[in-house]
Amino acid sequence: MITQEPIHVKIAEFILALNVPEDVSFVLDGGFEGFLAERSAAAEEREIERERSAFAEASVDERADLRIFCHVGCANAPKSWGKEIYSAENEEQALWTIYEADGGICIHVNDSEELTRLQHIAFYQEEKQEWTIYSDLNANQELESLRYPMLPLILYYLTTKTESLLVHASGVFDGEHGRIFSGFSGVGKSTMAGIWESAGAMLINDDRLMLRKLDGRWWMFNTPMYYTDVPKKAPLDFIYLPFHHPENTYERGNGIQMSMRFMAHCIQHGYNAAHVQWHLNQLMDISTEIPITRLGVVPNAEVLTFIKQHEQA
Amino acid sequence: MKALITSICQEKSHFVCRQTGEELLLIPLKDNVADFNQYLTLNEVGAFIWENLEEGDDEATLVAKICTEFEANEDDVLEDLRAFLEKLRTYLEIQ
Repeated sequence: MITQEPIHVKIAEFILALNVPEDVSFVLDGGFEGFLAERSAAAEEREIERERSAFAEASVDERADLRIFCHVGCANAPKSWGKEIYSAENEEQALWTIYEADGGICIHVNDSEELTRLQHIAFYQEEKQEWTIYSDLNANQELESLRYPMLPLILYYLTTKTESLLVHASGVFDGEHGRIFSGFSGVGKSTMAGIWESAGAMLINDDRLMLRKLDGRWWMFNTPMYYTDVPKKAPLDFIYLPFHHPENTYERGNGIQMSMRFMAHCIQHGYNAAHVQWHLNQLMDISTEIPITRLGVVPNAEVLTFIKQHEQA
Repeated sequence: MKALITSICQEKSHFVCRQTGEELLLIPLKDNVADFNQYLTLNEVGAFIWENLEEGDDEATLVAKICTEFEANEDDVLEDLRAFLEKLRTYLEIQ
């Protein structure tokens, strides 16, 4: 994808403006397809904005929530990072490492399929809400600046500045209520989502959701994954923490206890106390508005009736 | 006791706090990373002590602060304060 106009990606109603070089093929994988704002529509919006605004330079790009400047080659990144402040590692290798940098942070992101290979060097300036990403070209000589795990990292930092949270959860909307099922792998998130979907509910996503407060209430959104999907949004009415159990059980417990259990499934790096404080504030806001319930589950359709009955009680 | 108060004061920066109703929620930062499984909640008096103890305080200073705030009896406060600080010490040692 080669363009002189910024590419606009809309995720959870955040507008990300990507400025990409003209002399290289720029690609976003298939998962982004439905999240691309129509260029023609964006251009049209820009024209309207210009006409309305007293400032001739005003544009859609200037109203973007986040601006991302994409460049070719990690070797071209300025060597301006400072000391290491955090490293996300599996048992053997660093997935990505965060360094201090002027006005923000610098993240060195390794290739998720070949962790010894550096994939991106990304600078984030929090105050400006700008990312500058230097990425090595892929095997097809294309620039993939948002290649995994770059986008989740960008979305994570959005949640440190806005009323939002990223959470490991499945989310469904039955036309009346939005419910999320949150927990670690194996607790039944996808199973629950599948049962609701079989009963006609819309699956928002079965793995990762962005929760965002808009106009005074919390909503859930899907975000681009490795597979093609369209943007989805639903109100957030109930939060469940499911676990497999011989019988269906429903436990709305102590507020803080449940909140902390839920927080454990929210995506947070935790190395920055200010970010932890921010996320804690978001979580407490959610927990005052949305009931959080531990749910023992027998994974069959009867659990839907069980849940609805208890919600109404 | 003064040494204990000082050590608690020095640990305070390793916690993220959030008031929830009358309780204060403490989240420990271990190696600079938040551990949501090891949170602690303090009631109104515990929260007052946590927020108001300062390096250099001794038992008498703290008791005076608490009695002023809650109009309580000094003897009762002293006993409860010692028990509270010991519990806090145990919690902080586990972190």
